[in-house]
Amino acid sequence: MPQNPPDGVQRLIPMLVYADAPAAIDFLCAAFGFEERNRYEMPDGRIGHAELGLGTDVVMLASEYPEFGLASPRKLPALNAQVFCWVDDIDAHHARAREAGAIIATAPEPQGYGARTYRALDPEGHRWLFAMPGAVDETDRNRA
Amino acid sequence: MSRSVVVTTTVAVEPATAFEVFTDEVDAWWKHGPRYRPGSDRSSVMRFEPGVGGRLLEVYQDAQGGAFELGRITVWEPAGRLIFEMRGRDFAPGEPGTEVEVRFEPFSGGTRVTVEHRGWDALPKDHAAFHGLGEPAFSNMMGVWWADLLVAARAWAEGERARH
Repeated sequence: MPQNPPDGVQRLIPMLVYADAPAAIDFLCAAFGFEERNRYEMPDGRIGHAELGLGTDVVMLASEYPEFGLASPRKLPALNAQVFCWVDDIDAHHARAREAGAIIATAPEPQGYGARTYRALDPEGHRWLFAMPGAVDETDRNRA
Repeated sequence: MSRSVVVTTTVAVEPATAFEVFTDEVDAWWKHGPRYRPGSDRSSVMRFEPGVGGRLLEVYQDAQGGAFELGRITVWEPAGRLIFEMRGRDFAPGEPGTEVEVRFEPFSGGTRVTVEHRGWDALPKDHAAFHGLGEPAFSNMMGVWWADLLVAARAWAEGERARH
């Protein structure tokens, strides 16, 4: 029986949509440390499917397909989802994202639930929360 | 109750152009709708009157007309720095406004843009501007508010603007 899920991917996988998917792949690799695993270009130049790895996990993305009802967040009045991602060294991750031109909405900060997180937006407005486990700070819990 | 809200990004245009985009072309990127504009869903144009003492206005384009003043510019240094006051519709007349500083610094062939929104401490804790949120929830909300606007500003500066 084939391995399920296949090697190198998790059970739940975000599938994100970008107006400019090739630029998004470049950005996500440069800013957030993803590695391109594969991409399938369509005859019209759009990306039908791409996979970017982060450690043993993967995120999938594709170009906009209005005929499938898929649009970049740029065209939408609000988001209906965000991506939450655990990273090993949040300060280094934040510094790299900042240098690569991510839009840093909030700097790394302890949250009341025992994690340090920061929020970054990619160039099309998908919102990413990066987190690292940390001790629960009581003063922080009181603030939250 | 609050700290300053700091949001950063980079944009692939020179600081002088980035300043021009932020000020002269504000209506091209300042998103529409109740989350972003004081007039909510009214048809409007955002406008900076250039120079110290100039106003940041939302000018209404509907039959009712008129304008809402968000605040006045206190520092105007093209290609470098901009400071303006900001008040929402939920601020009483004479109440202190918040302050927004935008810095434009050369960075790797483009510009690093830093938006710092401060002055929240001067408001009463139960001010409507806080939407009932404590910290860090309020700062998180304002951070993503500016970040969402900067996504649009950057897309305009690097994309659509060039095609105009």
